Amino acid sequence: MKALLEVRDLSLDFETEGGVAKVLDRVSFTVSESEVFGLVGETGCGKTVTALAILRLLPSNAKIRGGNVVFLGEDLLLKSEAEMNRIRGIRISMVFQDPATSLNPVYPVGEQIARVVMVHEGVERGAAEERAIALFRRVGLPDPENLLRRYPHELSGGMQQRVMISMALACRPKLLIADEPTTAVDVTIQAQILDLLMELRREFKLSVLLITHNLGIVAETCDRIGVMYAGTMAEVASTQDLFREPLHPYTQSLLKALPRADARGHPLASIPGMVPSLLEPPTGCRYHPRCSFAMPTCSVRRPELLEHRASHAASCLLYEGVTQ
Amino acid sequence: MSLLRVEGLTKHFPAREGFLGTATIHAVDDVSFEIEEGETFGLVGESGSGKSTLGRCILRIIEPTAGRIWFDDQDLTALRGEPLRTTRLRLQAVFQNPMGSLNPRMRAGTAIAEPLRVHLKMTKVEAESHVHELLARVGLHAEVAQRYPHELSGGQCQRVAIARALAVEPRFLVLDEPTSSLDVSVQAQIVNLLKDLQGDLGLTYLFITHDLSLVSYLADHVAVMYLGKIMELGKALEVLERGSHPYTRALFSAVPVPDPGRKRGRIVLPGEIPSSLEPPSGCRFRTRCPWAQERCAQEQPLLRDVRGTRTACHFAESIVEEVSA
Repeated sequence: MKALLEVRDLSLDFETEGGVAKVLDRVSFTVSESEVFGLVGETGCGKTVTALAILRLLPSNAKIRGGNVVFLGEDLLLKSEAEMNRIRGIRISMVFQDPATSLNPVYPVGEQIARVVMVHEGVERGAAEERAIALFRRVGLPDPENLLRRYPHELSGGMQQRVMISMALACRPKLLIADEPTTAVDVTIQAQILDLLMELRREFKLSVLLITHNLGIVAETCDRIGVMYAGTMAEVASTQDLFREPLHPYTQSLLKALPRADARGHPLASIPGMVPSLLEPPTGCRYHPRCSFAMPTCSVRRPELLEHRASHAASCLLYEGVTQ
Repeated sequence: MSLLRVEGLTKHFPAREGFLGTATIHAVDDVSFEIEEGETFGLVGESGSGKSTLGRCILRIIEPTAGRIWFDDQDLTALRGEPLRTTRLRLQAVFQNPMGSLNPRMRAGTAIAEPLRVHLKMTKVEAESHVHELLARVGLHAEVAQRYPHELSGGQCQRVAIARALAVEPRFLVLDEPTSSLDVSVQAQIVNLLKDLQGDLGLTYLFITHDLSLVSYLADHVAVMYLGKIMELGKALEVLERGSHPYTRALFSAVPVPDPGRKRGRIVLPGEIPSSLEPPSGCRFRTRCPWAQERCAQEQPLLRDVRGTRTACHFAESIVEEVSA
């Protein structure tokens, strides 16, 4: 499969009052054409920052220290702001977690979508509104003509997220970044939204970068998965391989920590300690202070993200020893 | 023997609508169930199902509109004044957002000592040594007593909230989404702690959550709520794995399972949860139920025994047969 997006050794810092937070440390992964790639990890692991870095929407205190973001053969980190404006929303678009704050409360939703089309494609208002109506219909919103004049607060959370999705697809992007798109809605609505995303992905031949903390969602929707921990990429594998044979000790613990019916009566596996501060991340492997397999070298040597099985990469010294 | 018995509990909130007239929010409507001593009773449902309102009525944080709550053979709804205060110490709560339920200006130790000083009339010195015991009990270092909530992680805050709830030695805890703001690995720590405490202290839990895998892991009995009504009730695994209410089936089939090999028939429900201002006539679930018939709009289904659980659906038997076929 052809790579659509390749993030290579992306490192970035946030300059904060407390010091320099090393938010991403040489993060690498590839999203192929028509693929759904899941980025999972717990709060603060850097998954959202990675998405914002791809779109160059980082806050002003963020400093990219190195790496490349190659999209369709070109490095987005080298693009000018004007060039990025012709990529964002057109080639790559994004759906955020909370639709209520992503939509502008003072404009009708139809106006917001029509404007996207008018600005990016230079079409007349009438044609843009027609496009908005067609999109609303496609994402399953009821009474699309009437909806054009509705304000965000008049819609439910599920409907708002459908509006966000239709807006993201308005200019037929190649890549859709969805950041926790269903975290704010109930499970029955989540099922509707995920089904819709998977339908649209086939229909629009989209690649999707799906960011979530929910391992159930990635298991059901993604082709491949990257597991992040404290600003590093712990493991990248196909969905099958990741759940069947997780290599990284962090992934292994994470899967065992999930409550499920067949674990009844046994304590859940928990990871000792807490996620480290990124102001002073642990030396060597950032997971080593919490890892039950940690060796003396783990606090000194930083593991590389290497393929230890076919198409299954992990950054863990346990395997580097084995393969050498 | 049941420790807590809820009978016909109803909570309506008045809501203003337009210039004239008022409307009523039917938050909880005629709900009955029992909780056994020492068990974990799971209360599940989506937003607006009334599960938190129900928990708050049991704690008498809000007054129920109708119905009775029996705790240890005492009618909680009839208690007033001093007897209410002393009985209420036996029922404590832990809420979803630990940062929000702790006073930001109060050190963790002071927050835990407060109920000891107020209710158990302990002296400052007595309370202090007791606080250290409680902190140890929930797996926290004694030095945490000196910290303010913003200096603690979400998991630590939730442990402090649990220690505070345990301070007055309750028998019953209402746990309202205690882990939903936490990451999976921290959730595992808190869930393990709650299980340990239950074993050691013989506590009874009402566990309110929207996380169905969590309920399948720790609940003994479970009630599934939708728009203020119990749809199905029974032993947790019976309800979760062999539930006969179409809503239970749909709800559980909608949960993404972290097992890519397992393919299940998913029932995707159309539409959204109707407003509790004007709940549908008859069965409240009928507007989204793929099997709804005329009778569902006219006649409200009552809980009845169907295949090992109690289900409020007129057509449970035939639906189960169709789904299992």
